[in-house]
Formats: sequence, structure tokens, C-alpha cells
Amino acid sequence: MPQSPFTILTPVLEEHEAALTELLRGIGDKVMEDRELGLSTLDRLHYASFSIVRGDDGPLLVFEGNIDGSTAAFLEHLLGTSPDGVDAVYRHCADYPALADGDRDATLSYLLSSDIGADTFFVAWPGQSLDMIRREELLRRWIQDFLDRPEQAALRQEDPVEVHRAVVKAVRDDPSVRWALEAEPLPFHVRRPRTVLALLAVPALAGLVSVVVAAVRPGPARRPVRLVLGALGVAAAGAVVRLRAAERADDQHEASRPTDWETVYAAWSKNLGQFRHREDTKGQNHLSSIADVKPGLFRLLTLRSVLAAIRAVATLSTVRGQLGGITSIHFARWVITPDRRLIFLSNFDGSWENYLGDFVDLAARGLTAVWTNTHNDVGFPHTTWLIEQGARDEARFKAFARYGMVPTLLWYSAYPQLSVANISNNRAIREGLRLPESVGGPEFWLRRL
Amino acid sequence: MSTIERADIQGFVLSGYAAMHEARYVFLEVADPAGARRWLGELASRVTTAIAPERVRCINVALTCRGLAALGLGEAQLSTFAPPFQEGMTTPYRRRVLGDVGPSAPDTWAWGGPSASGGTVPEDRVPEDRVPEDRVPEDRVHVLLLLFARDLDAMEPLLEAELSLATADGAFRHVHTLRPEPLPGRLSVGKFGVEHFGFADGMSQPVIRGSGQDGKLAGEEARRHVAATGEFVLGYPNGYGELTPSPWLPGPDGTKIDVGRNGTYLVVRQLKQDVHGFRELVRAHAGAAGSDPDAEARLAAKLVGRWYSGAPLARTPHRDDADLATDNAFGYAEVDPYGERCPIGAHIRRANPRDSIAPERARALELTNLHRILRRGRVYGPELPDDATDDDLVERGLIFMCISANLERQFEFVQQTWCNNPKFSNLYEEQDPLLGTPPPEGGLFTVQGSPIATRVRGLTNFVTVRGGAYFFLPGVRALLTLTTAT
Ligand code: HEM
Repeated sequence: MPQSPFTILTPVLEEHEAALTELLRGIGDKVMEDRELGLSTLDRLHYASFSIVRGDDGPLLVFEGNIDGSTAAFLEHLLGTSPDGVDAVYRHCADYPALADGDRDATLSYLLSSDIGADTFFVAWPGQSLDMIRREELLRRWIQDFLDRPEQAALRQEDPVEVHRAVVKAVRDDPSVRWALEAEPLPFHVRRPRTVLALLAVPALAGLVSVVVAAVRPGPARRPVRLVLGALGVAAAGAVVRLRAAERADDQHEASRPTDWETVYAAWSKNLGQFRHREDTKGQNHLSSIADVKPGLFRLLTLRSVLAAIRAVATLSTVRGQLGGITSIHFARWVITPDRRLIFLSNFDGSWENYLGDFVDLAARGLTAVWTNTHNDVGFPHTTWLIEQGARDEARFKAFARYGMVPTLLWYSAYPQLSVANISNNRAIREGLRLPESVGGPEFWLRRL
Repeated sequence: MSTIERADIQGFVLSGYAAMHEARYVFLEVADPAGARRWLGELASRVTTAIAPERVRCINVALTCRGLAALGLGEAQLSTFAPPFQEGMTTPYRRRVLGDVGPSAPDTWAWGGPSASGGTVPEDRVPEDRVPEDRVPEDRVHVLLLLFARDLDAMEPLLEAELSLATADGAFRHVHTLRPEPLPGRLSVGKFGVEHFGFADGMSQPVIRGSGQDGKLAGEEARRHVAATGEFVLGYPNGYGELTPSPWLPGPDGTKIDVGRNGTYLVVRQLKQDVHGFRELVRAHAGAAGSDPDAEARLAAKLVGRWYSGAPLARTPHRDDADLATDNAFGYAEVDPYGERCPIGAHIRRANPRDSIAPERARALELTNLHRILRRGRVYGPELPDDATDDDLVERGLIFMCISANLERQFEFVQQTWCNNPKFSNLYEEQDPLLGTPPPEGGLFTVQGSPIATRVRGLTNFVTVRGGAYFFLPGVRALLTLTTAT
């Protein structure tokens, strides 16, 4: 089942911000026990968050969901299971048609029409439903417990092939885990990324060749093709010149700022406490952040193109479970709001320091290409050629990122005890049970246990 | 940049003063700010710098943020110091980062814990009756005077003289002293000191670029151990080739007076060790494993990553080897990618995973070296005799000290993302076997092996934090500036 993102953005009623904040924090403090919204009872919800961001016309409520299946189906289900909770939250938002008023379709379409989705959506393991993730974790524990039983001690002297055989037999004999021996494959493009790439490459190459041929070989097409190619070349060169001009303008702006960024950040950093209210309380964390897109159409277009490129790379990647080399992200998204702000929401393993460190160490270029088009009072570090320098200025980039953070008021993770690596390892254990060769043979399979 | 300004750097940054067998760590509270500044100003001329090793005595000095405030620095002047230093070790957030929960929660610390009145509101408050009476709360820990002497004969007059100077005319109140065991103590075959669990300690340290020692290493060894100067001393390029933000004071006409240069941050943590508990665990599991006489030593080595002698498991997986006791020329990626020699979760593999954290080894070393610390610990408390059958209930442990220019990226990162992180390197639910705080039902430690891993259960709390604070260890010039700043 495919995963989808929703980002529901609704204006908060004047003077309701404090009450809404308190309500959400309250639910967030006991999110696992809460039955009003009942997030922990929803079997298609991987991660969800609520936060409040600044909009041009006042505060906006952001409801982030990372779900199995479609947004419409999920929201419909949610309205059915938690009508009071949904009303309790959204009665603080402008023009909300409450469920209590009886017109369920109106409520649903209010939420659906406020969903701005994601410009780039990253899923570590596309196709892995919440149900699969949970079952495969149970399977891993089941097998480990089996191997650790005193009566299995003799297995430790055995050949890996024998151990594997013994485990398969035990799994088959237990109806509670027997399902694990049946195939439950991930989507084709996730299992066979190279095949997909090859299939895409054939028409792309063919197209390229025919364009080149048309431009070289005499014929009726030659002139127009050459004209188009020439125009494209001029446009590309123009874009580069424009980019460098924009970057120089940024540098000038930086040079003339009244207070340097370190002073701005030092003064602001007293507020850090409110962001860390719930940071690092479990093994995973959530990051909500917002930044203004720099003024002008050029930056907006650049940002959109970069996000499209990242989307393409993430979709066609041959190595799953990572984004630009970062292996700790479960779900993340960038979304541009109607009032030109870039929201970034991420659900990741480990600490903020580790996460931001990975940004700088592993994915500096890609992230520079995104955030260099935005700014806040700390300011994005000096960038050249869209991807150079930028996030490599570790101290300033971290200050920029911290400054852009928005407190996550309510955050839900369906499996806070599982890391991205755990989920993939569990997947490999499951696959290797049936087909040990798929993970390098029984010896390698056992290393995963 | 080729050399570092030794004359301005306190000696402790470049040396653990192994020839100084005695050490006293004296905590002072500012009583009279003007007098305290005067004393610090005078002390600047006596402070041991990194120019040349002293032969008889060494004096170094460090301050907490509360100490700087007590000297009279205002909020604006303190705001450019590193956030962890400003906040201190005991905020709810830092407790989580450092894993200072349960028995290690700051509320029961002998020193450095939250003061009874005000300050932070601890999440897991301890009933009043468990809070020790004579503890020194963090708002009284202002200045740390680090005194070192060749022997007791040299230490006694030094301590007396320095204490009387500091407390003369009521400038300071003397609130606490930590007294590590005299060196050399017990030595391993490799001539390194032995910590209380019985392991040789101190063989692996990063080498500071520009310190002179880096010239002795080349090739892979240099890549493995040499770290940028700015990782340990402010004012020099760090591992990213940038300058780590350095504290400054506002000067006249909008200028900035850099007080970070040649200074650094010093972490001090008093870590109590449950030696009896550690031996019990090893004994219980080794006993269960059958009649192998070396089983105890083998399991103990698996927990640490080195044998008692110091020999690394990555080099000699099956038996201790005295010839390798000081060996530090190893990685994990090539010889031991799956942890079958040195378990993935062993203390030293967590605290410094070397070349194993990225697919490409050279790059992995670069990344790891952004998270190095210079350890400066000394053992405290008498050793538990090898043949002790019961716990003698005497407190013993490690006065852990380490130096890093960026507390968050170095010390806290090592503690949080590597040592205490249950998800470190694809693991599921175990922490550093020495440092972690296991759940009530006991902690887990996985010993990877062929054909199947062995899971050791029932780990208890072997190390408990008894005190701690973040200090700033200024350069000598900066020390003078700080004492004259208004
Ligand atoms: C009582 C507590 C501790 C004990 C008994 C202990 C023990 C040891 C031992 C025996 C070694 C091997 C000797 C060596 O490689 O030099 C070692 C190495 C090390 N320890 Fe600890 N340690 C303790 C606390 C800590 C803490 C709190 C940290 C940092 C957060 C830490 C970080 C390190 C590092 C970085 C190494 C060097 C690893 C390497 O480079 O291979 N240790 N420790």
C-alpha cells in the first residue's frame, strides 16, 4: 500500500491561539493514552503532528499526517472514530463546519480542501504499511526468543544452514507467525529500482538521440530543433547569470545587516527551552520548521525546481532508507505555503544534534540548494552556485535551522521504538526466512538476528 | 596555521600531567566579587601554560557560567558562551541528552546538582529526605582550581598556599575538593593506569593538529587519530575548517573582545563505579557458559572492547595479548564489520566507532573525528580487592574530565548519540554496557558471534553520576580580560 502525506493548513481564529496551543500540548503529553483524537488507535497512521506557524494573516494550524492509503479515506475514518476530538481542535479554526452540526461532508471537504500536500515527500520504506512494520517486529522478537531458549543451545554448534532450517520449521509450526513465510512484496519500483531506471532510460535516451539527430541531419526539422536547443541554452545561461546575481545581492545584504547573526542568535537562544520541551524524550524526534522564501519570482522558481529534482531522486533512488546519505529519516516533507513560506516537517531517529550534523556532513549540497532560497533573521549562510558552501558553514547553518524551528505541539509516532535501520533489518529477516539467498545466504541472515 | 599559541593555552589542554602523581580539584564559590577578580588576575601569572611540562607543580583554573556571573558579568556578556555551558548540566533537556536519570539524576549529586531553591524544576524530583545534606549545589560551584603536584610532599604546601590566597580577605569560600587517587596506582602491563573495573585506560586519545605530536603519525594512523586544532582549542580551524563560535565581550564602540581564543570547554563528571556489580554480572554469565576458565575475562573484554591489559579485541579477538596492550592502530570496518571480534555495542566501539560509521572508510574517519574528546580523567576511591566476595560499599569511580571546543557536537554527542543511544549502529535496545541506565528488569548487551549472537541480559547500573558541571578553561590573556571586564 502506498504512503501519502497530508499537510492541512487552516487559519486559527483570532484570540484562540493560546487555547488551541494548550489543548494540543495537553493531548501531546499523553498521546498514547488519549482517546479524544485517538491517534494511537488508527491503524493507518505512521506519524502525525500539530504545530502553529505564522501566516501573513495570522497564525495557521498545521496538521501533518503520514499515512497508508489515501488522505480522503484516512480523514473519513478519523471523522468517524474521533468526531469530538476533531471538533475540539478545529473549533479554534476559522470557518470550520463542526461535525456536531451534522454535515459530515462539509467537515470532510473543509479538511480536504485545506490540505496542501507536499512538494517533496520522502518515505524511507515506500510500500511498507504500518501493519507490516508491526508484524515484522513481532517476528524478529519471536525468532530471537526462539534462538535464546536454553533448549536451543545446541544450535550454536550448528552450521548456519541448519540453524536457518530449524527457525523456518519453528515458524511454520506456530500459527501466530506462520504468515511470515508467505510473500508480501514491496511495490515493484522499490524492489527493482534499477529495472525501473533502465525502463525510463530507454525512452529518454531514444528521445535524446532523435533530437541530436534532428539537429544535425539536414531536413525540415533541423531549423526548428536548433532554434529550440539554442533557446534552451540561452535560458540556462540566463538562469545561471541570474542566480549568481541573486547570490551577490544576498552577500551585499549580509554585509549591510545592522546586527551580525551571532548576536541575533545568541539573544534568541534563550527561547530554546520551549522547543526542547519534548525533544529527546524518546528515541525519535520531530522537527517542524518554517522559513520565508526570499522575495521575487526567481527564488520561488528555483526552490520549486530543486524540490522537484529531490523528489525525482528520492523516487528513483536505488538505495532505500536514506535521503542524500542520511539514514535516520522515516518520513519528511517540504511544502511551500500559499503565502510563500517553506515548511519542513521531519520524523527522524536520534537527536537534533545528530540530525543536523548529518545534514552538514552528508547532504550539505542538496539542503543548501533548498534553503538558500529562504531566509530568516539569522540568515542562510553564504552560498555560491546554488549548492556550494551554504550548509557547510556548520555553526551558522545549525543556528539558522534552530531559529527556524516551530514548537511541535503534538506529535505521534506509531513505532517510537523502531529505527529506520531496525525496520529494514526486520524486513530482511522476514525475506530471508523464505529466501535466505536474498540477504546473502543463511550466514548473513543470522547476522541480522 | 602551523603552530598553536602554547604560551596562552592552559597546560591541561595538551597534557594530563601524568608525571604529577597528586591532584586536587578545588571548588570555590565567589564571596567577594572584587576580591575574587583580583585573585584570578594574580593567578593568571601562576597558571601553568602549554609551553613546557612542569616538573613539580601545575596550576590550572576553570570557571562555570554561574562563576562568571558571580564575578559580575551580565547576561549580555554571557550570552555568547556555548548554550550548554550557559544552561548548565541539570536542566530537564540536558538530563535527557546526558542520560542523567534514575540513580544518576542530578538531585542527589554530591556537587553540581540543582539548588534547593529555584533554578530548574527537575522532572523526576527526589524526596527531600534523600537529598544529601552536605551537597554542594550548582549555584555554589563557581571556580575550579586544578592543582597538580609531583608527590604528596609537593602537594600539601601547594594546596595550603593556594587555598589561603583564594580565601584571603573573604574573596572565595572553599566549598568542595575532589581528591583522585595518587598516580601511578595500579599499572597494566602496557604501563597505563588501570581503572576500577580492572581495565587499562588512556591508550586512545585524539592527537591535536599543530601540537607537535601529530608529526609523529602518518598515513592511515594520522587520518585515524589527528583531529583539527579547533576541535579542542577555540580560535583555530575546526574539523570543518571553520572557527567554532567563540565567546566575546562587547568592547568600546561596538567592537568585540574575543575571550574564547586559546580557551576551551572542560567537562567534569564524578562517575561512581559499582565494581562488585560488574564482577557479579561477568561471573554469573561466564559461569553459565560452562567450564571455560577464561570466560569471565572474555565477557568483560566484550563489554569494553579491550582486554584487561588494554589489548584491543579488534586485533586479538580470542585471548589477551600483552604485546598489544597499548595498541591503538586498528579500525573495525575491514577486520570486524559485524562485531564478531569487538561487539558493535562495546564501550570503546561506541565511544569512538573509528572507520565503521560510513560506507567509505576514509570518509568515515573524517566524520568520526568530528566527535572526539580529549579525556583527562583520574581514578578516585580505593580499589576493591580482587578477592572481595561482598560489596564493601565504599565509593569509588572515575573523575571523568574531558575537553572539547564544541560541547554539543563532541562530548554530548558521544554521550547521547553513540554511548547511550539504543539505536546506535543498527542495534535495537541496548545502551553502553558501562555507562547506560538499564531498565529495572536489567539491561541487554549483544555479543555478535557465529553462527548466532549471544544476548547477555541482566546488566545493572554499573556507573552512576555523582556530580558534574561544565567549565570554561580560558586562555591566559582571556583570563585577565575576564577579571577586568565590567
Ligand atoms: C566510569 C566510567 C568509565 C569507564 C570505567 C571507562 C573505561 C574505559 C576504558 C577501559 C577505555 C579503554 C582505554 C582506551 O581506549 O584508552 C575507555 C575508552 C574510552 N572511553 Fe571510557 N570509560 C568511562 C566513561 C566514559 C565516558 C563518560 C565517556 C564519554 C562520554 C568515555 C569515552 C571514552 C572514549 C572516547 C574512549 C576511547 C575509545 C577509542 O578511542 O577507542 N568513557 N573507557
